[in-house]
Amino acid sequence: MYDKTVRRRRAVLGLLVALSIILLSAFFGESSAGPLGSIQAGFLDVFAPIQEGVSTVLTPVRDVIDSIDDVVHATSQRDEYRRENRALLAQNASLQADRRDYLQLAKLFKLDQEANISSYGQLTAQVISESPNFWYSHVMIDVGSSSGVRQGDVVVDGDGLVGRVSTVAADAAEVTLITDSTSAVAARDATSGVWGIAEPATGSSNELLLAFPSGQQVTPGDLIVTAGTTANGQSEYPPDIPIGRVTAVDSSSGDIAVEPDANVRQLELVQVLTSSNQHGSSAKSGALVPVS
Amino acid sequence: MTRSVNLGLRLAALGFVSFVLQLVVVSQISILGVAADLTPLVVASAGFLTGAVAGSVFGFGVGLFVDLAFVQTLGISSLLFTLIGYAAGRLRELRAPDAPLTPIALGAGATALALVGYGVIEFMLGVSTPVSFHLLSAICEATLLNSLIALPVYALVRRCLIGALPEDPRRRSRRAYTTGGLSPLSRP
Repeated sequence: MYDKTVRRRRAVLGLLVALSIILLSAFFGESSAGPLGSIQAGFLDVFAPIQEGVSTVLTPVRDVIDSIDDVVHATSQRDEYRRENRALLAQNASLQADRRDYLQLAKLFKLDQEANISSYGQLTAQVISESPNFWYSHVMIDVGSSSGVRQGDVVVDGDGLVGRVSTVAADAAEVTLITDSTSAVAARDATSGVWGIAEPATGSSNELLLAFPSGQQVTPGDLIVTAGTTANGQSEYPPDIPIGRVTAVDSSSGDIAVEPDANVRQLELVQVLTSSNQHGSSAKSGALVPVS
Repeated sequence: MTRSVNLGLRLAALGFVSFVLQLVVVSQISILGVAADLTPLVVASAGFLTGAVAGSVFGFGVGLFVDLAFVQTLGISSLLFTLIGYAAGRLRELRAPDAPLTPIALGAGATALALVGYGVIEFMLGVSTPVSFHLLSAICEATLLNSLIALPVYALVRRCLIGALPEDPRRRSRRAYTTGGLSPLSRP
């Protein structure tokens, strides 16, 4: 009985192994269009609809399992996306800063072309600090005497006149803005051509007053530019640099309010006209020339 | 209906359902980058529960089904699953291991034998199978994954076949001693 069982078991195993090897040899030896290939193709024809039907029925099950897998991976994906988001935010901030710099440089370039200041040395500088008081009268820039900056050099940005260099160190300089109380600029109405002096308005950090000879016609919206000359001779400021636009004219007092084109509250990139002293009169050390 | 016919029908249904599940659901779910393979686990579990003869026949049938459905070289899976079913059945008959983690070791061995054996036979037939670290890594990962699901798969297979299983060899041998039957040692 025991031997019979063993023999039967071994016979079954031998038969199945032999059958497998025969199938293997026959299938491997025949072409794809052979009888075994046809059987396979026929099996597929029969089985494919069953497979499709079962797949449709079991789709919810598969979706549930997939959703569990998604939940398992959600944490790591979230962390990855957060890292990616942080990197993109930093990149975006950098790109926006680059874009802002580009726009300012483009405006500076345009101003260089329009104001005809190509005879000056033009040194681009970054504003590294602003005066902490309310009046925004001074800013520090990151270039100094080692770059050729000298006291009295005129400073502009893409919108117009900013001020003059008042103090110079080796690698930094202080710029006194046109809104500082000590500042005064020989100006000209670009429309009517009349001359005057632009000075900061008392009590205002972002407004200039124009003093023009009486009887001259100035209207709101007129562009005010640097005159380039004074009654005593050539001005420290090159001619035709935009200062601002007339916002109001008080006919009784004769005061003309001008809003500066340069936004002195948000200066980032400025341009120092490094050889402007060659064109003008002497600048006193450590102080602004009141009217030039 | 005799017990053997009942067992045959249950095995046929089990093989078909497990294969369809593998094809439609399990193969499309990737866990840790690999998909589990139910077929060697089911063949090994069935062989372990039913014995070497039924296990090898079941393995041959499932292997033939796999080769036909996946349009593979006919005979490779049949040969491998026949050996897996037979080996699992002989393990039960010879050693009768009763450790609760036996199905895990059985599943790992069956999966490794199926994967490595398939590659070896393909190589012997001249099919260029690139043996790379990636392939070995994939085999290890699939074996590990199948080991993890081997226990529940074994429990399900046992539940499907429980009413038609042949007598437990341990119980049979124990009864032979207690009822005065001959010990294998005293057999002429």
